[in-house]
Amino acid sequence: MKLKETHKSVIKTIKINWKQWIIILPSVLLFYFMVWRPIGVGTFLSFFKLQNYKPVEFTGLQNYKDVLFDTLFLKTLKNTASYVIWSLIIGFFPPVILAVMINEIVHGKNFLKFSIYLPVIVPSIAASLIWYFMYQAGDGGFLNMIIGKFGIAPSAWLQNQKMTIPLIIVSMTWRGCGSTMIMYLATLQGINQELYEAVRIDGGGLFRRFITITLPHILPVMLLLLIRQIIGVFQVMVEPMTMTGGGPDNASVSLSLQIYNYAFTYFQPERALALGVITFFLLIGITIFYFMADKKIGE
Amino acid sequence: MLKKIICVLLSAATVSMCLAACGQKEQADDSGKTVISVGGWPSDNQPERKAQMEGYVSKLNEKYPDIKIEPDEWTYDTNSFVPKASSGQLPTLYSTYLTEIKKIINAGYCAEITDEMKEAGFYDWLTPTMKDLVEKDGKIYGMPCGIYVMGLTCNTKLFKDAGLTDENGVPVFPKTYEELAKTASIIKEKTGKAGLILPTINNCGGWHFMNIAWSYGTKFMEQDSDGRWTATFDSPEAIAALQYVKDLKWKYNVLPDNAFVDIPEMQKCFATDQAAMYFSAPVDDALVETYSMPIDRYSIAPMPAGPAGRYALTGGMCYMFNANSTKEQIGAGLKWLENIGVTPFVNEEILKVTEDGYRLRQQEGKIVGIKSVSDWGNAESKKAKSKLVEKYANIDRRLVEQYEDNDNVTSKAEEPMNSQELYKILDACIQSVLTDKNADPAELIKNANSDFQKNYLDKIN
Repeated sequence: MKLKETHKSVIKTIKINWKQWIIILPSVLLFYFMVWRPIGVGTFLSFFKLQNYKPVEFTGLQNYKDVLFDTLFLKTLKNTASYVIWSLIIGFFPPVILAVMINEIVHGKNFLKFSIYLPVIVPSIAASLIWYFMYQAGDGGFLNMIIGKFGIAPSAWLQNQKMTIPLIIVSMTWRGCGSTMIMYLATLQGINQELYEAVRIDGGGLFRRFITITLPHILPVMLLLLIRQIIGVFQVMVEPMTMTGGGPDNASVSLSLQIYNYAFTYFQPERALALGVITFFLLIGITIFYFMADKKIGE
Repeated sequence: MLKKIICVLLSAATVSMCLAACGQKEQADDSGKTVISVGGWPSDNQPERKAQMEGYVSKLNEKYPDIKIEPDEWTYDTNSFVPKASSGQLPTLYSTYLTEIKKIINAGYCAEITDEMKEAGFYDWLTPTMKDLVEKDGKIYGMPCGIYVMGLTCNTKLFKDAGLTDENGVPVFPKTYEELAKTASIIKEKTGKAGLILPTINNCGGWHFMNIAWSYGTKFMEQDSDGRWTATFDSPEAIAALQYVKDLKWKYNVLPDNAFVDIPEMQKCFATDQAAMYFSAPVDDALVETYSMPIDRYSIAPMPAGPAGRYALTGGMCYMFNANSTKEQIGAGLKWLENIGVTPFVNEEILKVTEDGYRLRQQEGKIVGIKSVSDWGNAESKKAKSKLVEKYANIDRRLVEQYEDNDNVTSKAEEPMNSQELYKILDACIQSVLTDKNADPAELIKNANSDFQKNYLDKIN
């Protein structure tokens, strides 16, 4: 009886807003086929042994056990966390600083905006290859040639296991900084200029304007972009794949790269799906944390 | 309401059926002809090759009018293979690398062709090594072709610059791994270029390392009487082999500075005179096609010997059939292969096809002049094909004759279980010894052996 009433109310809602429903129908279909259905089917299939992507035998949690007890799993998880942490250290603040700088300057604003945004249009594989060549070890490497001019000995760059992830993050920051900066800039330009005028009249300088006006206004966006960055970097794959192949000695292999390897290198889609589901739930956890934090800040 | 639900369900079913239909390739046309799609078809920017293939289609149709060939330009690559295979969009007949066969068979992406191979008379010509590659549980799943034994490819210019050629300009090829290190050292000292380049990523490092490890006496795995597999490479032999790789970097300093080397990077370094030697298949077309290397810089020697002998990986290509192929399609596919010269037999027609192939390669400026060292095919076939190689050779054959002799070289197929995963684990060991001067080969091999056992062999036991 309750179900019938629910159906009736859904149909009633659709009938009342049928024009709006038609407008969002393409998006709903796209979401269904490209996001919701793959998540559902992927999760379902991760509990089976697959042949040709068809379930042939229910294996329960075996695929999850195989993935979680793989000796590489912990290293992969640690690396992925390391990518995220380094991305926050290296990549989180430059867009904020650049946006505030561009917002403050009067001349050359458009040129700077364009210049900083330019790397965003470079495909990620191309950007990774550019940085791969810059980071080449030995005397012939681009960065080594530059530091050589100052009498500094050539560095191993990506081949130094401790440096691999931070250096990959530098390349990602170079490419991704522009788009984040534009979002901050849009928020900054939406701030009522009279507020800044008021601080100026009170004798406040750049720092005080930033603390009292800019920061409170961009804080919610910063939180949103923080979560977006964590989620984005958590799925890093193209950069380590292109620049290091996950090496040296698995020092840069990430969860997504491992999913790719399971699916496409070893033809073990079951394990790829299981690891995908694990990654999905880790990201869901982060997103829930974001919503909770957002709610708290809102209050 | 019920009517609406039925309408929606019917629409969904129709869409699903349409989508399902997209996933199936045509098996027979209206006139009852057997239709096979053939992958790797030349594209429009290869007019000579395309015309050649169209000629083969006409020839086939004269003999077998009931077979219809549908060209498909898709060629094997790891990124597109799984999506195409799982959606039923693979060509009926496709070719892949020998390194991929076991994975494809285990994943169920190919058809069994034992009966058809027997009917075509090819089965009996499969050597034990070939059977190891394409067989599972006594059933055959592929038709190997272009089988080769890996060799040591050498850059004649760098050898000459280092004073390492004889009076005929033929490089003095290293015979052992010790000599290889010394030769590479001389080249590095005299020319400043890397004496040797080894791949290190994308599983290629482990793959090429097999040559060294086997030659040092490494046994990677064994199966006991109960059928259980055990990893056995935590051994002094494997440690010595990895120590050798480490020495190439830190003792002899003959490798390039870059420790992330894939196959294209290796080919590029060799073709542009940045590295003097690398392990490879005979005739690496990318050297000339992609990097415009003058063909007279090419020479190849047999693999060097280690303390346990001279071992070389077997490589090549293999034709396989879409898992949905019918018996008629497989039969037709094997006829097509015979038609294009992929057969152990020889007759005038087949020799003509082979000759056309060499002529076209010569016209395209690719290297011709190396006789096959594979034992595929009958003696008559090998002799006739060797004559054609001599006829169309465009390189000094003295540069490749030692490879053709392949003196005392034992060719080996890949390790039987989880070879790709093994390569990945060994990649990490190689990267470690090449990037960390203090890396301990014994510790790395011990961990690698334990990881391989735990992550893979224990799963199949």
